[in-house]
Amino acid sequence: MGSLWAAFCWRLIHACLDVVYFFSAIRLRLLALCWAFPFFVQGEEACIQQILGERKRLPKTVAIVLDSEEARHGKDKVVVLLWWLKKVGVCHVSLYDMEGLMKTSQHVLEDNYSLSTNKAERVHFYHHKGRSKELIETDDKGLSKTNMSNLFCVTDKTGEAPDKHIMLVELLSLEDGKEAIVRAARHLCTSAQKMRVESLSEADLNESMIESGVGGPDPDLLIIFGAASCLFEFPPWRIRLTEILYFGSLKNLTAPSFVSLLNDFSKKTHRYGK
Amino acid sequence: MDVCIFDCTFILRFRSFSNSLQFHGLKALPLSFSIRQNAADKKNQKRLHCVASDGNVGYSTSNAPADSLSSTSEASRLWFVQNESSLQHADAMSLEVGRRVVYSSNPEVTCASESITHSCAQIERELNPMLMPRHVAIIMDGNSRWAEKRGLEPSSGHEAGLQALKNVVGLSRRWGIQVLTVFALSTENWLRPKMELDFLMNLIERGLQDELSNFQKEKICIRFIGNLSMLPESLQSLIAFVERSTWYNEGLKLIVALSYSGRQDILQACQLLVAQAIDGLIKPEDITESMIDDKLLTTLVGEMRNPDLLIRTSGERRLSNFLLWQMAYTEFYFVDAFWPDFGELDYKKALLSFQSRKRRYGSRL
Repeated sequence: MGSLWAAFCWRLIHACLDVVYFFSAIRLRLLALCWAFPFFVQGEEACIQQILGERKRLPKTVAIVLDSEEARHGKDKVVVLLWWLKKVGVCHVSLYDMEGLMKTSQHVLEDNYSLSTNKAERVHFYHHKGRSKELIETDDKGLSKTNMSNLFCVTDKTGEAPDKHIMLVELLSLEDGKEAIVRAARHLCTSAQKMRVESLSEADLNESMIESGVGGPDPDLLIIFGAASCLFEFPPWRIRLTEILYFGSLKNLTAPSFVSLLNDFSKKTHRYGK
Repeated sequence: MDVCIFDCTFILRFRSFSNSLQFHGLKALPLSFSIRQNAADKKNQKRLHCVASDGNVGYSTSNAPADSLSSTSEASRLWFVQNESSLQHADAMSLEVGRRVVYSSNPEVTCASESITHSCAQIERELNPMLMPRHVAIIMDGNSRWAEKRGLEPSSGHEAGLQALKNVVGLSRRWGIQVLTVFALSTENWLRPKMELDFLMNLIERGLQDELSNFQKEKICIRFIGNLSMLPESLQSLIAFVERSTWYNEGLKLIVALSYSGRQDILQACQLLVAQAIDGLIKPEDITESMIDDKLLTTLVGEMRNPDLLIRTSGERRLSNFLLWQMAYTEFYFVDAFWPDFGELDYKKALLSFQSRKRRYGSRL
């Protein structure tokens, strides 16, 4: 009789747990529907505005890492993603793929962006070319090239563009990663003296990278698109404290899933080792 | 020997329960399996026995008759909770139904399988030795939060973290991983309260002293990377002694990153090359990626210097200045559990996840 009673109690506990988990699952599904509801009713704009209205902690500098397949076939989606990033207040985007397909498709990105968005929301695409940076503006006057050698200094320190309405999009490839550190080390050889070598600091190496024309801000958030959850040699110097989120294929990215990425980011806290 | 059998689903639902068992020196063995029995078996079977390697019958299900156990569903799952001391021979744990062995953690034992599937026995066998990562890196995060969640001092979290590390080192050795790099202390961690840091230094000293004989026995080669000059002198001497003692061990290479910074690692490599260039030994234009690679602190493991898999616990998704240069093609696995809770099952999941991925190193398929 005792064992029957024990078995009955055991099953009663599990039945209660099953009920609790069932309603918990229902609640989660309803929450997901409510959260996605504005998207279904009012579209992407409402979805993006919703996260802005919630005043969550959002990234100011973002890095996007694309594997070769995504870089080859996902340019349209990249443009949409850039527009969303601009909407949520990101002021600097580092767009990276190993083979430099984004760099070679810079004009395509600019044209697609200007066609699909409000031209008042300007985006400056640029990439590093050795010692000088060429900046191409996307505006009505056509393409123009401007050398702004001190532009990087501003973005490096604050991540803010000179004009708050402009989002800077930095196009990166393999040559801007480890090879950039190699160039910085070579540059240090010419500027450092023997007595100073032991006292060289991270700031010196950073400065050397800037002077070599390959510096850039550390992204707050790095999103990987592709089949593999790895960095594909994204500039290693910059990702010391960067949040790394892996999404998968770019074609599956929607406004709700983009907002979900930002929600994940906003929940993270930095203790900086403490 | 104290053995209790609990329903696995109960344990899984109340994870804190199993965690508290671990804290109190008990260990839950995830022997999850399914039993499908034919009518004859049900009729003849009286009890399930948990048999340890010393031949003792640990516990029988006399309080929960086999009839009721097998009739709940074909997916009865059992966990075995044992006193820590009796797990020394855990490799030979087996589960018998009647007189037939239905599960054994010893892969050489043939298990009765006509009407029985034992999913747990397959967990370990599912790890493909051909696809095992050669180098695993772990950021052991969450000790303090683990302790805070339990209302304990951070020191308890670090003690529990050390136990978790010992467990993972043993598993890595068992599963054929060749290099295990663990991030024990970053340069940023020096900002922590002095009391906590002093405790950590003592803990590391005690851990090394206690485990040195084990390193020799298991042929583990242990090396330390980082700015070791910031450590107490007694710990520096002990580290040097332990490294010398295990220098020629040919088993698992355990690299402990203490007072380590990925940026400082890159910087010191560049400093060495810049010094050589100033001395005229090399030309600045001769500096290449592979030369920087050879000067990094991880060069001591040769061609296996770049981790294949990075595991970070506690839900954070950052590198936190760990092996920045070396992580170019490392697969990431982030897990929500705090480091003291990271056990065999979590480790297996991480390795299985790694084995299911197609590594392309940037090339197209």
